[in-house]
Amino acid sequence: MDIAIIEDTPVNLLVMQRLVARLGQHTSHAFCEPEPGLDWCLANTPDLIIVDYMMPDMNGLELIRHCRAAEALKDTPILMVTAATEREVRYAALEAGATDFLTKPIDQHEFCPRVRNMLQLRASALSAAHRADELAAEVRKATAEILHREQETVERLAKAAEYRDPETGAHIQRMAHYSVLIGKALGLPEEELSQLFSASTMHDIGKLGTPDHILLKPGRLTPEELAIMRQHATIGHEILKDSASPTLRMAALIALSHHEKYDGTGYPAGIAGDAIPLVGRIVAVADVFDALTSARSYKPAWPVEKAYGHLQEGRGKHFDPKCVDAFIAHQDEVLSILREFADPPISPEDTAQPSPRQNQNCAHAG
Amino acid sequence: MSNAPDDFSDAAAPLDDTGVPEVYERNWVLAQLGDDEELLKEVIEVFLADVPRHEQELSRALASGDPVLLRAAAHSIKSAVGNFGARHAHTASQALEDACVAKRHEAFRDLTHDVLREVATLKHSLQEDLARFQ
Repeated sequence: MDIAIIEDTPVNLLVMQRLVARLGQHTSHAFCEPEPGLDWCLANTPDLIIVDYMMPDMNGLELIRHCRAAEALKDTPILMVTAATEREVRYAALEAGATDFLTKPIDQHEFCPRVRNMLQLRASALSAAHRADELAAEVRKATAEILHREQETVERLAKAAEYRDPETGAHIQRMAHYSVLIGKALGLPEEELSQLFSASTMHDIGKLGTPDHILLKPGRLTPEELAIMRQHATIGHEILKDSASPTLRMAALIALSHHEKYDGTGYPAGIAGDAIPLVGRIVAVADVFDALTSARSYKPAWPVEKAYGHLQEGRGKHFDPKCVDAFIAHQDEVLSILREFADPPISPEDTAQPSPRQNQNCAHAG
Repeated sequence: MSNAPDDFSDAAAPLDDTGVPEVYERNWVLAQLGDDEELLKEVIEVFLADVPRHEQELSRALASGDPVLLRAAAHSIKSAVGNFGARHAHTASQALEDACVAKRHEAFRDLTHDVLREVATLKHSLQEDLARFQ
């Protein structure tokens, strides 16, 4: 450990240095002037400071006060060793922040045990602080692992929904990126953007509750079948709501609200404007844009400009104007996402005549 | 091994072979330094090298008439001689310090001379001891 000894009388300095040397593998740093001693302590944070009281230019009390005012030295043990016998000096030293006080002449039977004890306390304090840092690191690591596992669970749940509806391809990946693009442009904080990235992928998880004969029907849905299909919004909400995870709670909101329309003509609740959760309004834009610009078995992909045009037409009606504007303002990034997460090309045989189902899906998108 | 000389009165002073109180407690100092004769030699040398500074500071402080300066100089000497259990020098320094605190200007000269005399005696004794090392 490092011990600073600040004492203006050379013979006292020598005696204390030699006594400290007997205590073990410690390094003593001796100063016969207080200011250089203080400067060194401030720059090097010793494990113990031994200081005289009466010194020229700065007495020991002032030095102790300077030490205690510095963040790095506020907890460093300080031992004042002085020939002053007045009780007031002892009181003042302890008030100023001295940890202990010894009077001269230096008696090694008292000096050595006091120094040894103070160094042991210092070692314990450092060990406790180190342990606290280690525990904090372990907690951070464990939290990161939990978040990673949560994200993985979310992704796998989203994939589960995707498997039942074979038309989505890399839809959920593009959805997540579009949603974060809009959220970031609207100024959402990093933590919410991270949650949105995962939560948006689960917007259609409720389709797990949609019967196969409806979900996979190639033809037009009857009004009754359409009503059942639309239940996927509330089913998704039921699956995800009341979770302890903020991400899943957000996913529940998205599942429930991403088919609401800004003018109140959406479903399931027919709520309008800012009553629709922002994340639902964001995912509505992302979801429709991706549906339009993706090739399906019943339709080719729309050109990007045409899809933007559709969003503009729906601005204030289907879509929140702010979300549309934020999305359209970042067209370069949209193109990057489209390229990075492109679906594999659909063969000419798969591009059939427009089916009645196509019309219903476009109505769903419109 | 003797205890720390927290009682600097002559009544407690160890005596030399002739029954005269020792100027400084060699045995005690040696015990403090772990019976290390080489270290004792070094401590004596450092003190003796510093004595002229103490004497000059004390004389200048007396000449200035400033009790704060005089007290600081006396205190510094007291601190240094205490390492040797030098009772007379320690007591004289303490007496001068007390006079400075009480601002008894009329006593400054005599008490300062007492300190200088006792420091000189101590110096002489330590020089004799140092000679025995060589």
